Amino acid sequence: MIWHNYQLDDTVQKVREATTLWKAEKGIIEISKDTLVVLIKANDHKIGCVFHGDGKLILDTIIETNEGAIGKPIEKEIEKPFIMIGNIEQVLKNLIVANRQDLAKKGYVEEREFIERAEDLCKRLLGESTKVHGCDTFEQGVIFAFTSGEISGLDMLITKNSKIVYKTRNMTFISNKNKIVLKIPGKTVVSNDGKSIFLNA
Amino acid sequence: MSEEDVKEEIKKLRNEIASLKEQLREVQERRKEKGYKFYIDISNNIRESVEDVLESVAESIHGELVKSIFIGPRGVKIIKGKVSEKEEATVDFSKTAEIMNALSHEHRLKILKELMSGGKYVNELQEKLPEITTSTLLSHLKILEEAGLVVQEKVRGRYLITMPGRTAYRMAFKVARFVEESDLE
Repeated sequence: MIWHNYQLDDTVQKVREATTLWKAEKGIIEISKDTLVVLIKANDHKIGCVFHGDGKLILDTIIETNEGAIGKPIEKEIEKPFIMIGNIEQVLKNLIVANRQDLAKKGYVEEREFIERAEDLCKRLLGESTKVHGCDTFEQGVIFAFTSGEISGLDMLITKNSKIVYKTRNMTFISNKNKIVLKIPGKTVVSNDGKSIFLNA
Repeated sequence: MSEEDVKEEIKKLRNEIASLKEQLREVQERRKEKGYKFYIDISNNIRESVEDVLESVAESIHGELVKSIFIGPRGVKIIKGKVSEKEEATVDFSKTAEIMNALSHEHRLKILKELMSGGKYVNELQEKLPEITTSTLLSHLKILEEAGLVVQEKVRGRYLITMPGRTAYRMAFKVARFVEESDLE
């Protein structure tokens, strides 16, 4: 199971109660009770998790301009496995070992199936050649990678303090306080404190 | 600013991006050497996406400037496109009717008026419009939201007026003024 400097834990756990993984002015990611969890470790440090359960992503990809608001809030049920890399203290406090019934709820017969799926997802995020570097860069930041339908690409949410980058196949949302770039099919909006430029493709 | 100047500005911006990328690479290299804690280098993937967006923004700005700004001997002139007869003939009024329907209540016009000055929470709207009960206010907001005239932030819960909402409100305001003036005559 060792893959470069990463290692997935060989025990599948679950969260005892609903947990908020990320909460900011513009977004929230929550997972429900009994969501399956496999830890991602690097040299014995727990650096992230792969989850599979009933989660929810809410993100206000809205730009408030002097000419009116543009964009819509995103509200997605996260039913497929997804990755979180970053501070997982809140999750660690809340874990117990998952049993066969918990695995069966998500269609797994045994632990190995979920771990293999988690491994595959990690490879899709990090690629075969990516390595772990010694660095404190990511202490306050969080990366989320979600499976997006049948498409091979992943939807990414990267956030650190007030900075957010959300990238899907059809949209890119970059936000840092009042500075926002929103790119949707046919349109790009660049806004700084209400003053905006609209570009039509 | 001439087209050449715009190109020059874009060139400068590209150079700055290249310089920032180089600085970022150096910082990452230095941090690697320290050898403590961990981070994941997925940055190439995301950095490229963000750069693509920023580059397409710069190119689009350039394209739009070239299309819509005429620089003549007497200065800069903004070129506004005219609505052609063909465009006029293909206008779909069904959405307009939906918007008109959403505007067809005094309370809803008052709500839009309050939102013109910035996003507001329900309780702030209630303070401004005490004659409307909470349930009625929420019902009006729902109608305005369905018509695309307002949008609600899901995290903070504020209601914001959209671009069509602003246009619709301005139109309603003009009609109100016109009616008032006609009454005076």
